Amino acid sequence: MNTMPDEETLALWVDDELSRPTAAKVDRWAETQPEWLKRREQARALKPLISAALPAAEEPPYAEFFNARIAREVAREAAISAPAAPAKSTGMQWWRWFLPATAVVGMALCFWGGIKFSSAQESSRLGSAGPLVHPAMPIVYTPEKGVNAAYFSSAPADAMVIVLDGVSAIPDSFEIPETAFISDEPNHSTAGMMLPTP
Amino acid sequence: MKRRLMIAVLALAGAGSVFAQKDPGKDTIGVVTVTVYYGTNGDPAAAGSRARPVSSAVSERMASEEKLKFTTYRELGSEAKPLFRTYENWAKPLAPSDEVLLRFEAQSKLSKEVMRLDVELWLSRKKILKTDAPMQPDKPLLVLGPEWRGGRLIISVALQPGRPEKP
Repeated sequence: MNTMPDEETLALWVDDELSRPTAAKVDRWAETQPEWLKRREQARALKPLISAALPAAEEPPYAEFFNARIAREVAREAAISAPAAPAKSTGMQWWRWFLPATAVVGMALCFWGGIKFSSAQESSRLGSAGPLVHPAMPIVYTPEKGVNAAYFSSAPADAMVIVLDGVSAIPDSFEIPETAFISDEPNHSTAGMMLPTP
Repeated sequence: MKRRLMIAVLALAGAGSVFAQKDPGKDTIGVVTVTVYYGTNGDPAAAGSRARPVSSAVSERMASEEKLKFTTYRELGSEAKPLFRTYENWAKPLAPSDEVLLRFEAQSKLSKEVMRLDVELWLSRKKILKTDAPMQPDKPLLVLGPEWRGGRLIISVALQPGRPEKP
């Protein structure tokens, strides 16, 4: 054997792991390779030292513990993957048809309710007289600092009243403009101020 | 020549149709009348010669509410403005002065007669009050406002359905 063996063969040869015919071929090649011969001698010298330090075989600790766990897992997997027991025939097969029917009826009800709700909202908008909605208490906001407003509904006056407090007085120097609209008839109210008929 | 005439006629017809389109937001859905009253327990002549007496009905109505009770009332100015379906509008009851301004805008229709309005009262060019009063005919919103010449201004806001006589 004149050609150099591959690395795997050489590694096995160094460890004396090759078969006898193959080892003979590599031996012939190694006769002219003193460095490889030296490596094999070193490996042979180390082998008894390693064998003395490490036990040949070691039993896994608590083998019964591992075996018990494996058995338990196997049993659990078997229970999960086992086919479910066939359902008993209760004679209520019509229920399978009843469920989709109820779903369809529910969807129709939701659709109808949505239409009614949206139409109610639409009718509450301007331009259409919707169902009577009791007017809620209006929101009163006074952005000016120090100004307060109190709202109440006045039954005697049949009016909504807002009392402003803290408003800056209008200067006395302010004159009513000559062009301010004044109704020709002093008794005519332009603000719907007529008392309701009893 | 005929072709040019036809094009001109078509162009005029197209322009006419564009102008004929009406903005529904400008529909008048009511009339808001803003009136400024002057209530005083003193001499009503302090309001000046331009202030007018009010009807006994108005006087009785306001005097029936304790918070608005004064011995004498005067009307200082009034303005009726259309309430648009979409757009806001302003009333200037003491025109041309902007000492008292009222901005209003339709918000929602609560029932056939009750309409909620966005109302802003501006005094001396400052926004003093903002509310969303549910307005209905014959039930005005009365705001007891600022002091003036020994009395108080009372701003009345009333909503009437229909169109104004002079929009």
